[in-house]
Amino acid sequence: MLGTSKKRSLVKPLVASALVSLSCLTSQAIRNAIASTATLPITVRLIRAVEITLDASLDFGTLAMTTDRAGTARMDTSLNRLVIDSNSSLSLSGGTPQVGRFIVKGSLYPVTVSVEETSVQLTNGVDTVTVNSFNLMTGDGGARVTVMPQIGQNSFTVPVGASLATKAGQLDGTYVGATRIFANFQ
Amino acid sequence: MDKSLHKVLLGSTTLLAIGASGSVAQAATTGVPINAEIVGAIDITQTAAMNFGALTDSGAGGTAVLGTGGTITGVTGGTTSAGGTIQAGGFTLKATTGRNIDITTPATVTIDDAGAGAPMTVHSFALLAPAGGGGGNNTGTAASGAALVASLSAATVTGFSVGGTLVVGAAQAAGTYTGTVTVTALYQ
Repeated sequence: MLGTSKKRSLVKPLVASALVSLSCLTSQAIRNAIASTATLPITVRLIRAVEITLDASLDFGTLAMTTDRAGTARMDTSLNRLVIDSNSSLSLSGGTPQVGRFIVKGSLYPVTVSVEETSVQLTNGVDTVTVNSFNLMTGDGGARVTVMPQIGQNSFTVPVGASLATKAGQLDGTYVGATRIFANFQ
Repeated sequence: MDKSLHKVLLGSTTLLAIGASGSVAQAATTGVPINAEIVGAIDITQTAAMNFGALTDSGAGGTAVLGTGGTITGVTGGTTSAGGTIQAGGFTLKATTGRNIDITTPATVTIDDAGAGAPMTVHSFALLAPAGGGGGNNTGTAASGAALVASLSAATVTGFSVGGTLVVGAAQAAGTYTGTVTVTALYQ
């Protein structure tokens, strides 16, 4: 029994080897028969990752309000100042109103900059006030703009303005909030 | 053929994956803080007119000082106080509590008697804030007027008062002289 078993185990590797050799020969034959070459172009566009950093917060300053009626104050990015409506409800009474500014660093490719939310509620912990109508770059730029950096320019500043709308009976206080700004290569 | 196709497909998948991860790396985000301070509009309302009362003058001219307490606190030259209704000016201030408010007057104003006599000058206005308005007082000068910093402890505070110095000219014509002084209040 032992002798027979050894013979079978020897035969199996031989058979396997034969099959492998046959397979290789077959594969070689096929490859030779259909051999061809192709040149695949390889390209890569390396671009500097977009960086966006805050340069200045958006600040409406100190607004004195006649509480019996609503009012609107707009930080205009084109004029770079606060513009108050003619409703005689609000007046600038101090503080330092300023347009928000952030710096986008990238490379010479168009960058799309956008504001996350169209309306933001600022809060003083008790009451809220609405900030909306965001504008990037210019006074009527809207909440999404595409900027093409100039040659030799690897960063640019994006001003952001918005409108603040008070309501009748608005409570006094320091109101704070935030929105996110996105920058993406096109 | 199948193997060749399989390799090409694998290659495409790899390129797409690189492209996708590249797009993620090309986005950036930052938060922009938004701030606003809203305060109540300042409302200033007169509660009493300034009145120097009745004065007599010898013809030499002089001055009469109306104090914020509502009395003639001093006279000079040929001018003397002759009683009458004497009172300091008064006003109520309504504003947001706890904020510094600048109250100012002009340096000088003139009062007249409808053109019958030469006008007289009132200068060196004085301002007094009650305790609920910060309690300060300041007598201004003829050159700069009065300036006072108030801070309200309540939304409405009454009892602010205004005094000043009247200059009576030599040979000033007798008459009833009237005019106005504008008191301005602004948040700092």
